[in-house]
Amino acid sequence: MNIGIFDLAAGPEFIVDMQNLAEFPFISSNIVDTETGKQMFPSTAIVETHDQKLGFVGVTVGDKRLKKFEFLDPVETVKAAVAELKGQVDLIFLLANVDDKTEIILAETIEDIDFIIRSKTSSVQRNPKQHNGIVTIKIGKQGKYAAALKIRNVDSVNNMVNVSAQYKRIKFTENRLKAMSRDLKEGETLESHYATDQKRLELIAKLRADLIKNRETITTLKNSFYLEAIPLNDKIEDTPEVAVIVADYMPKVKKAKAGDKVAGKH
Amino acid sequence: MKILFKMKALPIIMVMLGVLGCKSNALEQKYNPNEFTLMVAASNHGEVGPCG
Repeated sequence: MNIGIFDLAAGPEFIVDMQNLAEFPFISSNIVDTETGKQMFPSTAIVETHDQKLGFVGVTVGDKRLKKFEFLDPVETVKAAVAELKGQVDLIFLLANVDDKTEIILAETIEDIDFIIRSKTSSVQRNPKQHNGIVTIKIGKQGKYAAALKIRNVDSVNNMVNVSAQYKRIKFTENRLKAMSRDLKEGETLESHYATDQKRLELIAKLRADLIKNRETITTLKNSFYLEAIPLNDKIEDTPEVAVIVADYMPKVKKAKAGDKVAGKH
Repeated sequence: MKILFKMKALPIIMVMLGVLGCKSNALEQKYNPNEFTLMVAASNHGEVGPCG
């Protein structure tokens, strides 16, 4: 996880406590503890999939109000961290708690980044933008959305290609064929069921051809990616163990909110 | 105070997203083994990811 400025609001001890509890690495290339003068987190993390090595770099623009922390230059620190990762990994992801201006500077200055995953933004871009060959992912804030970023056929030569249109078309086509299949009897095909309906047969043939074409595009293209933004609403089923923790925690939040109202806070 | 409470909720959000990510990845092996999925999210202006 990349450390953002709000993660530091409760001071160094709190974030270190959280780091010790977490079963995943906290990273940031440019946060220094003012008191010790030492960098607080590793700049990078490497995660391996079954056939890829993925490098992650963290950075924040910081906040002057956070007196217990010093924030080093984001561009220089990311440049150094990316140079350290290059050659060790197949793809480099920059987790960037930065503003739009800094994002552009980073994308224009540091070539070897493949994806910039932004926070410090309320934008949700379902169709990611590319700048200088680097894909920027923006999926809002405060856990309102998660996003599934699917990446295929990685090579070190080509730029990333957005295949969101093909994925959406596959989903649409599958749903149409599924809807038409509702009344099928056992052993019956769509073609035999609609044998006397020429227009429907033509539509089925078109949908099947469309499905083959889009699946082929997705399986053959190098360095393709697809982003699916997932709103974390009530339709997402709770994990029972986590639901218990949240249920235990909520009365404390309600109590705190009631206290704020009494004190006239907003 | 409000920020502090949000901060305390952060690990909970992260755990939920992590679990969601693993589950989603396990279900989506449809087109090719050369595909992998990263789950990403901005919790309280930090990020969580990847999974699988």
